[in-house]
Amino acid sequence: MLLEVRDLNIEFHDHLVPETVVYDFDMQMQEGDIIGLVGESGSGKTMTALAIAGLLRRHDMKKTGQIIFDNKDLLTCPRSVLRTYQGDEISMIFQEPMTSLNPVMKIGKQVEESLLLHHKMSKEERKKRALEVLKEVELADPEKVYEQYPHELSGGMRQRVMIAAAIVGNPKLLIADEPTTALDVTIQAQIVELLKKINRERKMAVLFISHDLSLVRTLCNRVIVMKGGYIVEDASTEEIFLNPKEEYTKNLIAAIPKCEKK
Amino acid sequence: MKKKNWNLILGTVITSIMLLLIVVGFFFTPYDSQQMNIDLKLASPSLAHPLGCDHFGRDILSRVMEGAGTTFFVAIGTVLLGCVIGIIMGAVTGYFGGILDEILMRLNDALFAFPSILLALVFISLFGSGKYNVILALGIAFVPSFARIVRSEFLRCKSLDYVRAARLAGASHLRIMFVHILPNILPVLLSSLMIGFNNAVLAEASMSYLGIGVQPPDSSLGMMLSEAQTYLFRAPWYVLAPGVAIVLLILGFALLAESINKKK
Amino acid sequence: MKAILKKLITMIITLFIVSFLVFLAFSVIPGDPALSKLGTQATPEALEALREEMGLNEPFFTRYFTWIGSFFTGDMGTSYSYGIPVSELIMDKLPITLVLTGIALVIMMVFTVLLGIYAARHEGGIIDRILMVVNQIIMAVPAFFAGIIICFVFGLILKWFTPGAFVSYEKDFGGFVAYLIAPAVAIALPKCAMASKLLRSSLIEQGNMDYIRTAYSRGNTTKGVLYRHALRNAMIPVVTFWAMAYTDMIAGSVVIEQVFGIPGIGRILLTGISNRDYPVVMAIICLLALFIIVANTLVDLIYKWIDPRMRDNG
Repeated sequence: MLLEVRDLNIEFHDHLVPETVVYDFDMQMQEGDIIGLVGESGSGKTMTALAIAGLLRRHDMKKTGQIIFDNKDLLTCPRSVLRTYQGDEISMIFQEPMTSLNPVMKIGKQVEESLLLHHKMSKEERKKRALEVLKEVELADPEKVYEQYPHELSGGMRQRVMIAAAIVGNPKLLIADEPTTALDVTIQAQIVELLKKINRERKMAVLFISHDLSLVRTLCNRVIVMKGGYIVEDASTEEIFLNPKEEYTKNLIAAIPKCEKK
Repeated sequence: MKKKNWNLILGTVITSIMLLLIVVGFFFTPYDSQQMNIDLKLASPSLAHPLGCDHFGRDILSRVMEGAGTTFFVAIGTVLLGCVIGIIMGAVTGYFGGILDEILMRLNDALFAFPSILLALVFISLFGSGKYNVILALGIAFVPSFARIVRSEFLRCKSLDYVRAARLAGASHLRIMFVHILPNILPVLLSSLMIGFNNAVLAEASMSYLGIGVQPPDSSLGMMLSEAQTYLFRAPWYVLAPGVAIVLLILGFALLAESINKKK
Repeated sequence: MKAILKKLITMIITLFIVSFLVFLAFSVIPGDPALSKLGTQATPEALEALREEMGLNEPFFTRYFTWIGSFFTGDMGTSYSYGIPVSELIMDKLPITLVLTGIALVIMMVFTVLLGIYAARHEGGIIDRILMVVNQIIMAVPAFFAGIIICFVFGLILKWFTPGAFVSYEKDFGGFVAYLIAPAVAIALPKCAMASKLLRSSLIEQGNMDYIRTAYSRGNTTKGVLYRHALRNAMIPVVTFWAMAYTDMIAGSVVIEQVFGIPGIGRILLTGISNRDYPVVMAIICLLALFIIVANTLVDLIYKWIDPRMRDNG
């Protein structure tokens, strides 16, 4: 078992009335799994993802349950322990490639930052690894990109850079929070293909968060549907699409625009 | 549940107190601010003279009230002069653009990089010193900063829908500029007016302190400070009174300006 | 390289505009420099001769170009009231202004960074709140009043230095620098307050940015995020402010020299203004303008170095 989440509840306290955004969330993930987490905005999927990545460590919220990764509970372990996993065993890519990269740092430095933080490596070694992953994410001229700044790249290229930075330390789990939402449709497909390739070649587990069921269908082998903070349905992709149990899932599937014949 | 706007409350309180002192000072001061009394030379604060007396035995409270009035008058005059010319320049250049805009803004840029007090010193050396010359010098020195703000606001506003609608309705350029656009940029203008006022107080005080601003028999806070500095050791309250008056005048408007900025 | 060249050209153009405006302003004023130099008893012949000698009969543009041309060779004209070359009068005072504003600049930069980072890291804490209130008050204190208070507290009460006992740099450079620290603090104080407030809010604003979350997701510590990522981004508006602050400090040095009895450029400028000694005033104003423009150009280059997004558009 790579990752097991049990009874995760997330509650915000930054307003007068506490607000629960995730209720009793459960899931399991094996090595090499590729799971889709689907739901409309506000369904709690991003909060769940951030909690797993250890990025919800604010003081104005309460979280209960367990997030067990590598036999450690990431929810309760000290921050210093959590940090040894972040970027090295668990990586995350975000929705907005435009703003998720540091605008005043060279691409190369950002890609190899995880190596700097987690491994004793010489500068040359780090650069070599960075160039390798930049090539792996199919960027045309890795040497050039390495020396460039984010504003010099297009949205699709930046998302590739984000992926490169996430996989450079060869993590076991990659969390992708709507990585294609801000991109053009053609580039969306390329990014999904790329994630698929990485999953296949590196045996890296991917938790793919999206509101777009059609993308999830091409990528994932299991789907978890969320609504209003609850899990509505959790089944294999085939089962979800052929035989949806819940009304909400049916509606979601019906909402996919169809261009092929029925 | 909003947090209390302390900036607004404190700013209003401080500014009101200062304005009250100034307005009262125009009509009435506890003592004649020019009346000398050798017996009271550098007298320390007492019930009769709450802020003490200066080196001629004049009542400091009365002199601060009068001096703050002069400082206030100069600052208001400066801001009004700078603002009116600045608005006209900014409105015309921002609204019409073209070669005039290009030339005026190049000049503006060159002047803007220059501290306004140095600019005012240039004008003072041309016109001579005195209350009205200070207003003139500072007023002109403040034009670039106002023109700059007004111009950018006009540039932003002139392509907005309501301006286009007014154009279609047949409004003249003048009417659009001053009836339609100007009221919409008032909030921005208001906070820069307050900051401008503070800079004017600061500049007037500095110039009078240097002896090239307001001239006797007018009294001003800056002038008092330069006189008081000689007696720093013997009568520290003499320095404190005009100094604190300047600080409060500036602080009040700064807090108000901040509370306006936060609301936006 | 191209950007630097472009900046240099803009800088030279601005210098010409400023010098031209100064020259124009002093040319259109009523009054005859020759008359003011010789006094009202002068004979018309002597006046005419002097006008010819001073080049006052030349056309305006010829006079401007002669003036600006000789300015670059170090000849700034002759003082009306002292009768000696202006350059002689002000050249040995320039180091005072430069060192004074230089110290103030360093003080401002160091304290901006220290206080700004501290306040941002402890946002909402008791020290942060106290700092905010103190900042707000200090911002309202004019530099010369701060100077007087410093004189009183540190000079007269604590006796850390003797107000008025200025040491010239030719005699004792160490003592000269030591004496300039107090006035430098006075002009740096209000700017420190503004700049650290700006850095604080800028850092807090950067803290909510997406790239900060990315940095945390790679396993950065809070410190790592702050120094490797947020600080450089947060410095961008602060550097712009520093440039403006330095400009103001140059103007402020003129005033603060009076408070601390420093015989620098400021004193000569003031006597020049009171005596209507135009060559002196013009030369000093143009020199200060030169400082300011050079400083602004430097800041622009630093700005481009910090923010790569600024490098492409001129």
